[in-house]
Amino acid sequence: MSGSERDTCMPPEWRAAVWRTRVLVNLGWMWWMFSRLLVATAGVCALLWWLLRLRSQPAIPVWILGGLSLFASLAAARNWAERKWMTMEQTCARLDSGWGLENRLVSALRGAGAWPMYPPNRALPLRWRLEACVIPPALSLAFVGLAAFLPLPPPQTGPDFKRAEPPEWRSMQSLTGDMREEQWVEEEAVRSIQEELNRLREKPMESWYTPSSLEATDQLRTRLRRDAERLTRGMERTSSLLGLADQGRSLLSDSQKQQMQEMFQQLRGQMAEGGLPMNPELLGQLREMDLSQLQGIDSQQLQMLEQQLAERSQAMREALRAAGLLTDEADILMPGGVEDDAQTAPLTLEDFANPAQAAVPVALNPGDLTDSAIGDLVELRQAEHEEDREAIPTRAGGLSNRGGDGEVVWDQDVLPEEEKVLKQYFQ
Amino acid sequence: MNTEPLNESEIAASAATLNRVRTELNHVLFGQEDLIDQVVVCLLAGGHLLLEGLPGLGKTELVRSLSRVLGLEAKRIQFTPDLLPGDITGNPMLQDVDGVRSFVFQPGPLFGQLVLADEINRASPKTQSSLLEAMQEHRVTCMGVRHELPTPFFVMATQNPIELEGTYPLPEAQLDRFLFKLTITAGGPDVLQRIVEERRLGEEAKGEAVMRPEELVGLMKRTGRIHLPPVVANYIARLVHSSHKDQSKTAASVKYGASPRAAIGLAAAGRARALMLGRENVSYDDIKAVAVSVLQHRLVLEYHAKLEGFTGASVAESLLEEVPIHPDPLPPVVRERSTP
Repeated sequence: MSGSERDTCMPPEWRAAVWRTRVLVNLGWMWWMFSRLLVATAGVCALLWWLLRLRSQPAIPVWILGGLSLFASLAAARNWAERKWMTMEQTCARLDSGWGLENRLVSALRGAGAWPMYPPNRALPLRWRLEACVIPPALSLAFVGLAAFLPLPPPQTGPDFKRAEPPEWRSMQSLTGDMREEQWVEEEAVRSIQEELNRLREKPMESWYTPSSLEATDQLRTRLRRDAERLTRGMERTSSLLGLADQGRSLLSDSQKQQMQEMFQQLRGQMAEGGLPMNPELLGQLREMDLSQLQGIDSQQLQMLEQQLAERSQAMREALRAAGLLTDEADILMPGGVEDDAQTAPLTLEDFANPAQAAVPVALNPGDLTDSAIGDLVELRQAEHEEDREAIPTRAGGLSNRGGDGEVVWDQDVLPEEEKVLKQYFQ
Repeated sequence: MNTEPLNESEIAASAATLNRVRTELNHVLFGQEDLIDQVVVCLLAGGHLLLEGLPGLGKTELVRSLSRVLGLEAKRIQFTPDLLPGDITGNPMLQDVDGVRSFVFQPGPLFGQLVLADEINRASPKTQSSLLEAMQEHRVTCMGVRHELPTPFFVMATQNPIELEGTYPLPEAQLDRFLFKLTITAGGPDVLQRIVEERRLGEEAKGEAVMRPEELVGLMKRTGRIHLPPVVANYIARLVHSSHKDQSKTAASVKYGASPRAAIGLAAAGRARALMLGRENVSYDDIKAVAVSVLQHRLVLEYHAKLEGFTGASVAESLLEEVPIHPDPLPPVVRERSTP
């Protein structure tokens, strides 16, 4: 006898009892699996919701995720429970044992013996375990409630502690700020340096003090110092040149004026180039000036430009010093050479022990400038070469390596005049 | 063989007859209702019975009463160490038959319908093993000639659990031939008072015959027509399987579990009990009621289990507690309603 035939020959009251028992057990399996998935889903969604609350973001994605997860859980629970669903014979066996029917029901289902009398007003032998049914939804609600009502940590109202960025960044930021404010240099050049600085800042805080970051900082700082010093020197020399031109207006010969003009042009070119070009407005004023035609230049204009350049160079030097890019010791060239004595360093054309300001009066005192070279008159000290002034000499065996690395100076940092001389020499 | 399910009248008539048997035996053996039920079930299932108990508890009386009530021819063999197989199965005797001398088989005391093998463990293994063929195949072979034993044929063996000196414990193969092993225990003071009041020393208890051997055979055939539901057969299978090592927690105490013959015996005993109680199908309760009697002598326990005081009966009871009647558990959110 097939299952359906047995089902049809079963008395209706028994069929109803069997159906109710099967539904109870099968739903029980489904609910048991679904409740576990429900708790897991609620836990995950509650956590996500709380995190979104923490970031003050809307919770709609969590509701969507939760709804989809519930549908998926329901489907998964149904599929899983299907494997455990009771057969009709198993259900009859449950009723047999629950109602003390001595297996008459399963026997009758198999066609052995008559159907037993249906016990009237008797509850099913199985019932829901309420606590097991209620706990998972309650737990899920508790998770959601926690996510909804758990107080968020208070916003940080205390002082906004800045990240301890490398001090060089702050000094460079300050220096570029001064440059922009005082309009010493081209706006674009300052912006370029500040962008590089910002790129360093935008890196994760953890990498601020990595060797690569520090090396990049050092390179930027070195370049900024070198360019700023070059511009400062250029302005100082130009200022001196203009002062000489003003004072020697009637004393200089035409050839000397011509040489002065050439040097003036070189200095203008030098200040207009490099990483920190001079303020274009001031540079334009300088370009309008022709020192070979000195008689046609207003003395007051010369003095004003001289003073303006001197003030700017002085201010820049102060700013460099304030930014730590120029120290008092470094400001004075250290003696070089093999010996440790106070001798003139190689490639330095003047003894720096003498004050620079005395150079022009000394040159002017003889009164006859016919045989004087213009370069000598314009403070030769400023023809110094770029070198590493902060290098600490190493000592070994009584010898010093001070003055080394001069090749780099010659290769990269020679003055235009010197470059011309070098070319003539090697030709 | 008729396999048609029994109808209600057949079942009712059978149950009534068996009830009379039980009542009559209860008039002879006081306070042993459960034991008598088990004995009737064992006989109805066509099995042999191993009785264990102290002397004087009524083992012999039970056999005599059974033979009277069931109308069976009873034989008694007192087993001793010098008993030979031929002494119980029978021997060929040289006789003069019609002027010709030839060997004629003289049946031994085994040729009875109800054989009481008293103190079976006192005989040598050789003699014990001579019972194997008789118990299993209901026949005796002597000098190449088979001699069928009468029908029905039951062996009821007894053994004394105390006097173990000079005894030969029954081997497992022999034990497996017994469907039931039952233990007779002394009744309480009330039972003892009734015995004292109604019995006289040396006086044989009287019991009236309730049926003839043919009727008993008919009842045994009806037993085979009792329906065994698949769910109950599944329970029997799981119960026997769980008696094997590593198949259940209880089986940790068991060295060798019950044989398939035990499972068949459980089903047969369950059918017999169902018929005795007037039901047309075997139930879980039938199996539980006979399980200890069927399994206890078939379980070979581990040495450590014996030291800890486990017995075959206690292990069988543990198995009954451990193995659920339903193979599939209920979901954790559903439970059985407690019976009022």
